[in-house]
Amino acid sequence: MSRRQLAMVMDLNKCLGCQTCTSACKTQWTNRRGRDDMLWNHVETQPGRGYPRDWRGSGGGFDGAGRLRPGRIPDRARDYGAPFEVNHAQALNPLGALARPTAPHLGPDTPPSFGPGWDEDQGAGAYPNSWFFYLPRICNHCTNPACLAACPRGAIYKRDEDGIVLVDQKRCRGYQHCIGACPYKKVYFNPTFGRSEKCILCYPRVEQGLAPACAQQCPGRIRFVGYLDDEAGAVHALVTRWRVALPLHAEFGTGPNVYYVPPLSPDKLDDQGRPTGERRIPDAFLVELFGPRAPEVLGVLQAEREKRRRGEPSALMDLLIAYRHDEIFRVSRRKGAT
Amino acid sequence: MTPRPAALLLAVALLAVAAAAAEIPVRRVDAEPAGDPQDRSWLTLPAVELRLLPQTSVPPATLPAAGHVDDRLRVRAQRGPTRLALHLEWRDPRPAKTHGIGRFADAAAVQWPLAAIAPEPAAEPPYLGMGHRGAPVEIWFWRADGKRERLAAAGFGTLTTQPGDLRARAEWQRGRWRVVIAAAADPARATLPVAFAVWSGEDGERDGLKRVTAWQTLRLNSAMAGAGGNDKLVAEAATADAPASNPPAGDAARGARLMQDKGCAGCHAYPGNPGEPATGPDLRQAGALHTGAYLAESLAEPSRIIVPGRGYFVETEGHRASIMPPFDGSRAERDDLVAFLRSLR
Repeated sequence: MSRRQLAMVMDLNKCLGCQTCTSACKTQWTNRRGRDDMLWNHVETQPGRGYPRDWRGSGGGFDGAGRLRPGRIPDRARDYGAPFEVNHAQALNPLGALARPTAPHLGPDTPPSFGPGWDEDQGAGAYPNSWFFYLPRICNHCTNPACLAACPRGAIYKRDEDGIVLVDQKRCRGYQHCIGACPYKKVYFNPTFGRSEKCILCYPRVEQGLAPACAQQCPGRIRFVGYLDDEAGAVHALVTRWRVALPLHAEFGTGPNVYYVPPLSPDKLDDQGRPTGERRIPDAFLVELFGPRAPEVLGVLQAEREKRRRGEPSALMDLLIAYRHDEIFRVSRRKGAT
Repeated sequence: MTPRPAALLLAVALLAVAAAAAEIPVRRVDAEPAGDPQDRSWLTLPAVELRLLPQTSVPPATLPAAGHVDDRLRVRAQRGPTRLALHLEWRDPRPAKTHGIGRFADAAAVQWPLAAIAPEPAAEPPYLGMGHRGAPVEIWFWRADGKRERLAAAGFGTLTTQPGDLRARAEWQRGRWRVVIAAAADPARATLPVAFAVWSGEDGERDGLKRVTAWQTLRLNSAMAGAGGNDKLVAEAATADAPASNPPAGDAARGARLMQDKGCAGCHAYPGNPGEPATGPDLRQAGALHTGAYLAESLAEPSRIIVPGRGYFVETEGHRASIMPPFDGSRAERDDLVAFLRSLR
């Protein structure tokens, strides 16, 4: 456990699924040199298979006795969805088309069977009660990282000053035990360098007092960044004071440090189109993801939202609206600094 | 002299499978040894056949389910004016030649004590699992995707790449890998302790998931024998492993009972121990991997050579102490325990 922990809260009530965070991360870190396939940040639709495919059932993390559970390394084609090329030259080359009137249709060179966002917006349920929500995911910079525990070389370390989990590229030998061990499947293998890489929580930005790129660029301002012990920060307020931000799959045993404000949803409708008083996103599903406190948190959110509707003040709603960046990011190292 | 095929077959057939401390003769050649593993100069050279054992001492350990078809490794060695070359040959019906996401390439490596290259050799070989602190090994590593490295290590998890040229060529043909690993080396000794490792990529093997041989003896050209090397330990290891000439003093059956009575079974997994504790190293093939002398010493002085596995020792102010208490029984009891451990093969 590190001395301090930089954490992130994502308010799922505001996520648009626009993938601006994904683009911000990719252009910043992973669009080159063997990282082309990697998504340190991505947004998936839940319920769904997620990314990589079926990561929630891929093993890893710790069992009740604190032993590493076996986990599988995702398959490049089946679970990540190998990127495909599009046959621009054959389909669009005018000379080629003249020479060969039966030019193929524009399309992928190999039929794709999976990829990030493969089941986007699919969700579950039938009209008018179909439902889904977006789940943005980065490395959880866990308090007890399974990737770190699984590495026989001690190549993964957790920084004492902010709890950021990093892969030492000089020590990593590409054994990939970390990839199977991470229950969130957020460690990737770089085939160019033959080593593991992962989200670095934009530590070079953090060291300059800036929020990670994914959080900075989010148009919905759903991401709050700050130290868990910084009582003046929004992260502390949401996680500890209001207790409305919950870890994802805490039962994996790694102590994840990305927290989620679970999504409220409109009522289910009966066959006459009348609200039934039952939330459309089943509580049971949210409990599966965010633990037993999810319904209680939804109750708090609902109550505070009602207050605001009645024109009464709600500090929690004001906080979640996130009027200004400087209210939601507090990444400066100094405790209590603004 | 060029042996006829029949003679070659005979030569190979006559070599016994050695679990521990076989002697691997190094043939001195005038030109540098051939780099091609299919070269006649290699294939006509008699091979020493060694037994490969799954690495089980430290997690992540080789899975018993891995589909190894054979546990034999054939080794040949030649030495030219500047280069030492080793020819390794083993069965592998499905070669794995690529390395990628969740895919691992076949690999092989050879190690010897790093200090052995120097004129003043260490008194005893380092821990078999890539050495131990204070007793580093040099490793020549080949992998089927083209990777080759000179490495040094002082125990699991400490591999470090080293400068220097390493040549390796490999050929997979009809279910067999043949690999020549060669580099400039001029060990100023008559003999070198040497050990080998083989990874089966298609079984997900990499890192500690591998098969290893016990320490063997590389006998360098007899012209080198007078160079003043200290081969006392190697000789000792060889006799310790020749049951006929040096039968174990203890009684293995009594030793098996002592494993329970003395508390060994509380921490070590081994055949006959109903529990599968992982507090200390797995002992299921201790007798095939280690000499009696090493096992006896481990009992008497657990902290002298510490298996560098996580949780096997405590470290205070840079000094490591094994969590295993020194054996407090009689000499006869210790002999019985060693006899039992030697029977684990």
